[in-house]
Amino acid sequence: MRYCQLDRLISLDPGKHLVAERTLQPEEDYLRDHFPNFPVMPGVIMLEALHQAATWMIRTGDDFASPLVLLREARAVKFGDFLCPGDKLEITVELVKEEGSISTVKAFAEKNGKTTVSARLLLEKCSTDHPPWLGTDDIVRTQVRKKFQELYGSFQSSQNP
Amino acid sequence: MTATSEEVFAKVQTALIDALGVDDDEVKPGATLVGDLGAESIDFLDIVFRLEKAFGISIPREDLSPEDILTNGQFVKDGLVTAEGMAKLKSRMPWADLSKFEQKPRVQDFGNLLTVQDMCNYVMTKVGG
Repeated sequence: MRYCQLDRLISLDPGKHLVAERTLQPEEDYLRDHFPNFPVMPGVIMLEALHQAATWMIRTGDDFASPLVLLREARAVKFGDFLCPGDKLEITVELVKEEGSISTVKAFAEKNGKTTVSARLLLEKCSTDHPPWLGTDDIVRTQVRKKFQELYGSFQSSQNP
Repeated sequence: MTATSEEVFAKVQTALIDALGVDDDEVKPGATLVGDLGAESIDFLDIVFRLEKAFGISIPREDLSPEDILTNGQFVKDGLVTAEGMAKLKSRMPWADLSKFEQKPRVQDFGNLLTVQDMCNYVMTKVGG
């Protein structure tokens, strides 16, 4: 999964709290353009790291019951510092509240204790709009669960033997 | 310029909603900025900027974060603010409710002290309500 923005999970309280980390690798392609001779992680990629962390936190909270978890709002997004190749980002997300299908998540990432990005994300649990006979929701559910196992399965099994 | 406490609360509430992305029902007078509303250090500049603009006031940094007192060996001992330090804090921040903090004045807890009501009280001292 080339779009994966989390290298590994550090802690996970399903549905409530998740901490992960991500190291910016010098060979990541977009760094050639962002910026020439001054490679730094694009802010939107940092935001995507928060989004992915929030999504996994929510998905594990109901054991992958929702086929889709969609980003509905990104509020109060602030960027505090650059992330350069070799720098490690520590990403923290925590559930603030759940109203119906909408989860409000406080999310931030730090580099050496200094905030690089923070935001409040609103995410919605929902299904695809495909007709049931296609079975898309089940396929998506299965694929997402499998992806989580592939990416972070070892973490899960070590936490929940 | 004078303002009623309702007007001040409404503007403080708007500033916090916009700066922190919280909902209006979360911004209650007793809510703490850090613990309840999730403010990070990075948010405080934004909050100050919005309050300055909303009320046409200037907010010196030391008004809201008395770091000079909290890092001064004269006012802090073993991580606790001394009686002398508390007196200094009270004179610097007469608008803040320090009664809870005073019971166990750990420097590390100071950051989570300020409430929405404290912010309103502070603004009232500035706009002369």
